[in-house]
Amino acid sequence: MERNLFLAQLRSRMPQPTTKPEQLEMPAQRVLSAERRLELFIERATAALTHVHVCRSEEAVIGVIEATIGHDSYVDTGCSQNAALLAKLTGPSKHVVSDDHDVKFGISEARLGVALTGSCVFDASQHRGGTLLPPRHIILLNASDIVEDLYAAYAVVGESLRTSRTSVFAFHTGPSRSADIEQTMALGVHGPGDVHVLVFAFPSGE
Amino acid sequence: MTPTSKSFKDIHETELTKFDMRAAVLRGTSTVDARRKTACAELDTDDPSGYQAMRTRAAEIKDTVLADLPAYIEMFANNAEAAGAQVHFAADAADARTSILEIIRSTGAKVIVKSKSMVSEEIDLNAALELDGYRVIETDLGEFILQLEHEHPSHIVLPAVHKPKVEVERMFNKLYDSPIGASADELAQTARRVIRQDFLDAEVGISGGNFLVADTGSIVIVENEGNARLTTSLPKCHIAIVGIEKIIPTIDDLPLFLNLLSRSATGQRSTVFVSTITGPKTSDEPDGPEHMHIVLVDNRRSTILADEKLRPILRCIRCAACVNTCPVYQQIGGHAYGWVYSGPIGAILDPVLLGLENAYHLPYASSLCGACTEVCPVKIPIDDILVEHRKRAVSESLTGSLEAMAMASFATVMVNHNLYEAATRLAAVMPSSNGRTSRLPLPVITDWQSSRDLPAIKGPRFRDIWKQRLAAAGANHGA
Repeated sequence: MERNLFLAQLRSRMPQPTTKPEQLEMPAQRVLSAERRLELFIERATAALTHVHVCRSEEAVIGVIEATIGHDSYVDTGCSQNAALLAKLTGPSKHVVSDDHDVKFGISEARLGVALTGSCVFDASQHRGGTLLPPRHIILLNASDIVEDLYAAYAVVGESLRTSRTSVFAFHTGPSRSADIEQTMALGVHGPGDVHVLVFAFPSGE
Repeated sequence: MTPTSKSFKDIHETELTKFDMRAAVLRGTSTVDARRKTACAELDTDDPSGYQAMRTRAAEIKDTVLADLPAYIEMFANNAEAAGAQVHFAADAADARTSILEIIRSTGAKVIVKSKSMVSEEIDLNAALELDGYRVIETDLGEFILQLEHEHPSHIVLPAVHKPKVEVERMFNKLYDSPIGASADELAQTARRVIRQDFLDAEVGISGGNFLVADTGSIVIVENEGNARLTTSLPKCHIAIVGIEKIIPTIDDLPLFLNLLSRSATGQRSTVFVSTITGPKTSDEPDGPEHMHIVLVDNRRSTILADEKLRPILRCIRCAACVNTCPVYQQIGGHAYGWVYSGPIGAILDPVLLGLENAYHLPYASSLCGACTEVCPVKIPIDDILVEHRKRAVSESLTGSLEAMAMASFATVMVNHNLYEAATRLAAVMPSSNGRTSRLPLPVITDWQSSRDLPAIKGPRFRDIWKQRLAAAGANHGA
């Protein structure tokens, strides 16, 4: 149906006179220390079945990735900030991002972490397929990018959308799951069934 | 799907004999309901406002939008179009199907993947697409299972909650050679393998939408499997079908609704995946659909909007908390309701979307215990609306003229002192046996009596006792 006709029909059905509720205030934002945000993130992400690794050095990051992937294959979904770090991997074999069925891991950079939900947030700079198709997912997250809650996270998303368009912001919280078969949890139904978040908590100055 | 809500009385009796189904439904809904309670209680510490204040705020935000819906739709459409999406407007189901078919024809697609969308069930989309020669694959695990069995969802969040696992084992064994006794994990992996190729082949992905954000033109989709993310990411064309009531004003409002939806629907702090999609991929993004269409569907929602008593129905965020907590749904399951929406939300929504004459039995599928209203995260007064539908069904004589007559007689007696006096005298001499009132041979109350067992009325009447006491007190005072 044509837009103006649709809206005109809808207007003709609107209750008269319309009573608008008052404009509502947003609730006050909480402020948590960086340490508390990290603690909460670890607790809540772990509760959502994410494996969280807090890494205090670049060597530690490489060590966890090498140990997790072994000699399997991975795709880099767009880790522009950590390209140099990933170049140091020696065990895993890198594939170009594609719909390759055999690639076992995706490695992605999260734009944000959310402490209260244990979520990682990706924008569209990351290859969407690469974050979803491989059965296992490694997420690189700076501890300083962990925000308190969804209010704080969507404040960043909103600000970003107001300045330039990003076609998707995706919040990932743990492995893909389904309870559609008699409420028994099955992991890795369509997305990754095994999710590792490497939180970069390097001492300042490193 | 063809509605069978008019035959609710017969169908629900058949459903009651399906003991495996009833056990699965009771187990599934009770589990999720318990998780909901814990997760919502946690909001008292997790959210600056606390759970009850969040419910109030969510209801107020929804009412703000509904009071000015055309303006919000316009704002959403303008912003979505500015982001590169094409917005289509569908007055009814036929209009929506036509729009969607036109879009798909223009893509030259053959394979279509779908993620969960109740509106697509409402407008019978799959049948229309298949009639046009497209291969349509439901990718949500529950919906996939039901599609293979040519069944419809029985629950808006847990579509296959009625299905015992053993039935899935047998079907996957027949179709995919999966072993009998396979675990839920193994069955899910089989589905993943089968559907994966379809994701890679599909030219069009059709999704629903949980929220439409007016100030950014975004659609928001929550899910746990990742199938909606794949549906909205891999095919070149993404079509989102969404009811017009899903609008929220700003992206700042989204966290409140996400918190309430995830916790009320599945008892999770957040569902595994939440996608906020704003237009098709940009030129510098590595992947994503090149075309995005949003089909905004009215399909009698404006009828609800125009009706002050029913309007709060449009606050609904489809969490199904009311369904999971409903003692009637827990016993009869969703198929008894005969259409897309079941449980308490179905019992108030279907009579409008289908017409009261086609679904007037549904509001009676409730004990009016109020559990649904108590758990609704957007404070829809579900029990009041159930009663409102019943009133209208009686006043329109849909329930038969006898009930209308019985109710009118009841009202006459209750407001007339002399008649009430006479009626209570009559009640005191009602026949009884074994301490229960005998059923009366009155056709007008046969149905009503069939499920009720009243204790025998014992005399003397309260008003007689009271009169005697007053008289005695007066006599004593006089002495």
